[in-house]
Amino acid sequence: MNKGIITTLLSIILVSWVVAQTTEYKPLKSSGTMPADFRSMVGDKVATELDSEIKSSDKSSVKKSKAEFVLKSNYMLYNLLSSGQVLYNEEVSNYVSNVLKKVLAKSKSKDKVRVYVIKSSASNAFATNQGVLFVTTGLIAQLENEAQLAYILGHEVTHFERKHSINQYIESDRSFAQRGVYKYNKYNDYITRMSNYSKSLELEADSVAFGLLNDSPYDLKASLSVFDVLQFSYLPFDEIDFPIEMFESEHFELPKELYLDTAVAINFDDDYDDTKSSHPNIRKRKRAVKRYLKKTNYKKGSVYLQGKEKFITVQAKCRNEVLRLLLKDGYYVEAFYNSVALGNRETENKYYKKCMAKALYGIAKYKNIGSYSSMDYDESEGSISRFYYFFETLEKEDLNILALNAMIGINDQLNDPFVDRLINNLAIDAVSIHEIFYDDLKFKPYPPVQKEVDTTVIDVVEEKKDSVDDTDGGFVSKYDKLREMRDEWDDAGSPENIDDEGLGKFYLNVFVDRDQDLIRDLFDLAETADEKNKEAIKAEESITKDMSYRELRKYRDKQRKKERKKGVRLGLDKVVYIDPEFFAVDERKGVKLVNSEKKQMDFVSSIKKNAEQADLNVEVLSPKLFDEGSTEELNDIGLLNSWMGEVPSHQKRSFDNEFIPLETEFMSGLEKKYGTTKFCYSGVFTYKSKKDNIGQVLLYSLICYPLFPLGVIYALVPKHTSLYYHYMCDTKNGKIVYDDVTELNIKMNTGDINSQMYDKMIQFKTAAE
Amino acid sequence: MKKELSWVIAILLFVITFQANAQAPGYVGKRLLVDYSFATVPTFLPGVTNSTVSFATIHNAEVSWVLNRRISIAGHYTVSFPKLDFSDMDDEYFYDYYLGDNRQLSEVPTKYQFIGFDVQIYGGKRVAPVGTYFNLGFSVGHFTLLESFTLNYDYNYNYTGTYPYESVFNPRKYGVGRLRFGINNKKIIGGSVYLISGINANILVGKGTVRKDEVFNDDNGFLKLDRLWMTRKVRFDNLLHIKLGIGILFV
Repeated sequence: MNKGIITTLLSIILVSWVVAQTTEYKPLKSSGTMPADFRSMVGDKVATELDSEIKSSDKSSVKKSKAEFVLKSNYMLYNLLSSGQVLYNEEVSNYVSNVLKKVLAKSKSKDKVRVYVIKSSASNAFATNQGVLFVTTGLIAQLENEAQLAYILGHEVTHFERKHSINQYIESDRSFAQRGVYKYNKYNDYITRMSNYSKSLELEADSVAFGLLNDSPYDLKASLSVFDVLQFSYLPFDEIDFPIEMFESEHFELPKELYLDTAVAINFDDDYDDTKSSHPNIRKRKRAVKRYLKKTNYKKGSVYLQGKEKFITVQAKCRNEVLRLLLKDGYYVEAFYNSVALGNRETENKYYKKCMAKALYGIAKYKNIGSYSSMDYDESEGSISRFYYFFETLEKEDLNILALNAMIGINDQLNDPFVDRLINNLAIDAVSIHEIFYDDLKFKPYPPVQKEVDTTVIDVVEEKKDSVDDTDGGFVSKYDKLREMRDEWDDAGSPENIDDEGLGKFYLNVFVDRDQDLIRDLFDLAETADEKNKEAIKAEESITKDMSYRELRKYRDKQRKKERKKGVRLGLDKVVYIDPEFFAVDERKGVKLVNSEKKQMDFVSSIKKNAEQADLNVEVLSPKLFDEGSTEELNDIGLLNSWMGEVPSHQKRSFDNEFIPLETEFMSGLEKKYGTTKFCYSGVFTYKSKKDNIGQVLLYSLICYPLFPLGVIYALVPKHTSLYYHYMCDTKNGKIVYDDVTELNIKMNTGDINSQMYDKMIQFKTAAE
Repeated sequence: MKKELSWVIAILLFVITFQANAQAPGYVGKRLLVDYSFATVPTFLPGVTNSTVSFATIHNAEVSWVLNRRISIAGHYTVSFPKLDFSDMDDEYFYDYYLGDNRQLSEVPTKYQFIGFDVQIYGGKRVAPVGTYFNLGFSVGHFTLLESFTLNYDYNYNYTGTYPYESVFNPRKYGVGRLRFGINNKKIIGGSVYLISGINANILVGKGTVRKDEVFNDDNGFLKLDRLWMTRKVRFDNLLHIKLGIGILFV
């Protein structure tokens, strides 16, 4: 009795704690001392690794392949580690590290490998030749338990131990050149040959991972169930019904045609064609594991060694992170679906509600200018196809108002200033794009409608709840639902689409149950903002309105000349440079990575020197300068990279009424920390190539022989192209402040860089008159 | 000459003062450049007789001031040293080009000095004072014809042989204006030191009257003096000469 009470109390405390952890979301960030992998010059690491990898007995072609691989892999690894998207010393990565320790307790490799977590919505894990394993938040978000993670880590460790990546690179070179065993095997194409080789490595990794799991205290059956995760990880976190209640109200009902009766069937086929794949298909992998299981004396092990609660907490963090990443990357329907799915489980979670509002904003804004997704509903699978169908079938103006209404409903509970900003912005779209004004809207209460709710999926959920164990944070796991559905699966194909006659305009009735004053204020604000925008455009146009074509051309030439003479004159006080780059590329030799790294250090020094001379307050966030205590700066780079990555995706779509980047709300801390809202990418890219028409030029110079020396000089001197770029954004309004690429047909030396850089800084500092 | 120099200095000082509080263009905050360059130019002597090619060196000292990100102005002093050789004609003289056929050729050693003012416009994406620029300048100066003595030979009246006669150029100085234009490049080679290179051409505007005395014996054996007055016009001075130099960025 006492035991039961204690368990119940503990469960309540646990759930409350988990909810508290996930309600107030903050992007995941690393903490503590920065590991050595993230520091030091890559050139030094390359030199050390080359010494250990290249043997004197190696053939010259193998030596060459190894040298290339070591160079490229180290720089790719560095780029990933310095992106700020890799987590260490925080809860999620510590959890994964602990799992790795358990898996490798008896292994020789335990001191050689380390694991980090990548902030990514994709489900993936991989190992590098340097002994660094990576697991994505997307993968952890999809797993069922800790033991599955253990198996995946065992699989990746095998790739490292057996040197799969470097061997694959050498094999790829050999296969491409048709050397060695490939000399007589010319019938298969290169991709098939490499696919076969890669699949053999994957099966080997599966086999060794099984052994590692067998040696560990983890339950061996995870090695089989993990393949369901791998097969269905492209599906969202759960199979759920469409949240009709979010869009309807007491007196407003949506047309039935908007709901897809039968969701697009999920493809359960695990014996798909893997001829050109890097991995064997799931059936083959499962079959192999089943064989191992048969041969093994199976004893039930632990699914969780660090506790189920810990797994739930860690997974919740990863799922929250995935939601943010989906929104950042513009996967608004997926983000909406997943936030609804998670919100169904934690109805009080404000973060999920906020994600729903953000996702609806993204869908509506993008639908207003064209399309919100590159995927049609019938290309999706499962319940999410209903969501795609709904947003696809709605007219732009209907969706604009429906999203607005739903966001207002959400923010009634959140009272969040950022969501408020999104609502105001979307209301401006309604006024400016669709010309919907407050006076058009209807507020008369309609007679209550009788609603029919499609309960198919809900029934399935209820049914499963009774039949299977809870495996997903106290809820029926997505995979259990899928397993059940798989049993009944037949290849029914996609449901038929509705006829394309349109559904009529119902958007005017959407606010029928809302507070009339609130809607009036909202539309008043939107109309005022719209008028201001139009006035600004008119003012700009009025200057050139009465000009003839010739006058207009003259005016524009004058403006251009003025800018050429005086520059852009931004009047900035402070700029933060994020990870300045220098890339030297030779057409024949590829990227000169070691040389580039040295030049990058000089480039960073130049920024500081020029800023001092230009009297511009500049801060440089360069991983090249980081030491053990620079974790916070690396986290900042991660946040800034996310935000700076989102801004151009919207800017290039030419919204009349600007799109507010959804990452903007995470920028306020950085604005305060650095005392500026201007963050800038900058770098140099130099390209050396052979000149065109050398033969012709030499021939002509021979004919006109006094010019022959000039012809020889032309032939001998390579062509150089240098690009010096700047990309600066303002966190205040999410706009690109300065975007410029200076192209020079020279090999840029320090002097040229200083000249250009100082000029840019003067332009940044000088205010317009 | 001193007067001209003071004008250039005065203009430069004015511009420097005027620009002191404006935005600060230049190279890492440095706007005053001083450089020296030289050009070794061939001086072709065309003609039927005495066809030769000789070389002369032109020295150029320049002080530039960066006005804005596209334009810098400069003051220069140019001197030819040790000399330039010019061929002459009886009544009209074009250096480098022979236009008439009934003339005598001789070399007239000449040197010149110029002082002037340039505007340098940086093209494309280049920013003053580094990179390629178009140079346009005007300068004033003078040519100095050095005194020279030449022993000439001509056929005697009955075509039985040649006889010698002497001709003497009087030393003379005459002023000319010069328009110079070209494409140059300044490249930083380290710290504040830069290399300067380019191709330039000059158009000269001006003429001078030259006295040429020719001394010879007449048919009766008397020594005679034939004094000729010639107007020298020089149009082109070292068309497309290639210059090379070094400079320092000061402040």
